[in-house]
Amino acid sequence: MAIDGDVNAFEKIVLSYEKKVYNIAYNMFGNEQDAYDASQEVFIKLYKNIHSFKFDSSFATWLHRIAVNSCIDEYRKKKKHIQQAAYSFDEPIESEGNPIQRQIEDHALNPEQQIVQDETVDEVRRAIMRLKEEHKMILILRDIRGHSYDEVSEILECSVGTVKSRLSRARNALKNIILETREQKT
Amino acid sequence: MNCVQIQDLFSAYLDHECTPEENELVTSHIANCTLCLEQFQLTKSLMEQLNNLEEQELPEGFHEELMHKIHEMSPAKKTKFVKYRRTYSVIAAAFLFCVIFGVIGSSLLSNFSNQKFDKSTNSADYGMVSEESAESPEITFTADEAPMMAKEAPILTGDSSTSEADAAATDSAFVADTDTDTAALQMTPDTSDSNLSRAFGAVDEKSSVVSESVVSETDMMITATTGIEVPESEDLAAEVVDPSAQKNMVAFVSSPEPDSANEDRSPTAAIVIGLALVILIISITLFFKLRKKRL
Repeated sequence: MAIDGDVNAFEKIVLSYEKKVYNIAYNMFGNEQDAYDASQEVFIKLYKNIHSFKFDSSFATWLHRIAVNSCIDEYRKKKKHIQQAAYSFDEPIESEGNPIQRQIEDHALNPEQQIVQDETVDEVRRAIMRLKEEHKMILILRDIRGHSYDEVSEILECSVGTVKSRLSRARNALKNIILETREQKT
Repeated sequence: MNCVQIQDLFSAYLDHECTPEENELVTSHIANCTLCLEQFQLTKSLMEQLNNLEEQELPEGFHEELMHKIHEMSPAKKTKFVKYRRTYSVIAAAFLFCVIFGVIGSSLLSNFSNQKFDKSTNSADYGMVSEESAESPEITFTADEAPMMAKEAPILTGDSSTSEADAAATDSAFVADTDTDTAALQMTPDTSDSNLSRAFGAVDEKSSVVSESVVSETDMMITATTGIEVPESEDLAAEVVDPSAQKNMVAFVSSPEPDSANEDRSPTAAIVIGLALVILIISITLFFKLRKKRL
């Protein structure tokens, strides 16, 4: 296949999946900038590894697998930075352009910071950000993106039984965070 | 079942992944347990909120920037010229080859036909020449690149109808310098008094550059011709190739009569042929170099 043909064919793939991948990343990272970087990275990895697709699964499954793994990896890297910065609570809340600081602001459970616009949606988004990566991702795949148990099991390369039990734990965890948040408010 | 166990089933229940028995257990339990019902409703509400979370639009420039990165990653596009470089070089080499072939062929043809026209004394020789030419002898210019040169050798068809009949051959020896890497064809005037011979070929016996097949073919022809010619002309002895003894040499009999016009032509033709050959060799070298580069 001509070199140009490769890129043109790949662009079609990009067009089909870029919004989906971006949304997975957005729900994982909780903000546009990180989601932007992470999802671009997914497609670059995809392009580099396109020849290693062995047709042992559907292409969509394989693509999602790369997206999920890449997002989790990138998230873990960023989380280290966030956690290190999280201990400096006495720093001013209104800070200039530090993305990590802003992330802490976004997700800190500070009652004065809460804007009562769409409380429920915000509440849920904030709660999601406090989940562990594995729980967050399985909720993203199942509840946010609407994949079936079978699809989720293929993407995560685990059994349906594992999907079932992990989903149950993830949903419980989210519920508990929300309840905890509501208790803190009152 | 206790509340904890029931609550563990909520997730599967809401996804319709429970067995009928489990469904029944949950339904009946939450009907009677307010705590579990509350938890059930919260779980259900959360799931619905997750389902309803708005899909984010792709940020502006996302696609363009991504494709730009991808393009940068892929190898550079070959320009059309570069792509067809090999073809162009082949065509150039072939064209040069034809030019050389044509030049050599025409000059030799003209020499040959001049000999035929100018010959008046030795009808027998002429007859021999005709006979020889009728057999289409193939003359090879000995050089290191023997196979190449073999292809280049003009085929003398003895076509007397050539328009270059004016040039008459003189006694000149066509010697290929086999000691150098490139074949330089030199036309040197033969001061011999021979009226019947013109020798083309290598003098150096050591170099075995003439391809055997051509030599044998030519040998056969020479044998046929020299067998008749030698007794009639003593002058041939010095120049004519003895096929049995000297395989390296190729001799060709032609008109002995000197012609001034022809003498003038010979050096010019030699220079042209020489130049053309040099150009051909350069183009061939380039071709192979480009080929190597491409690989």
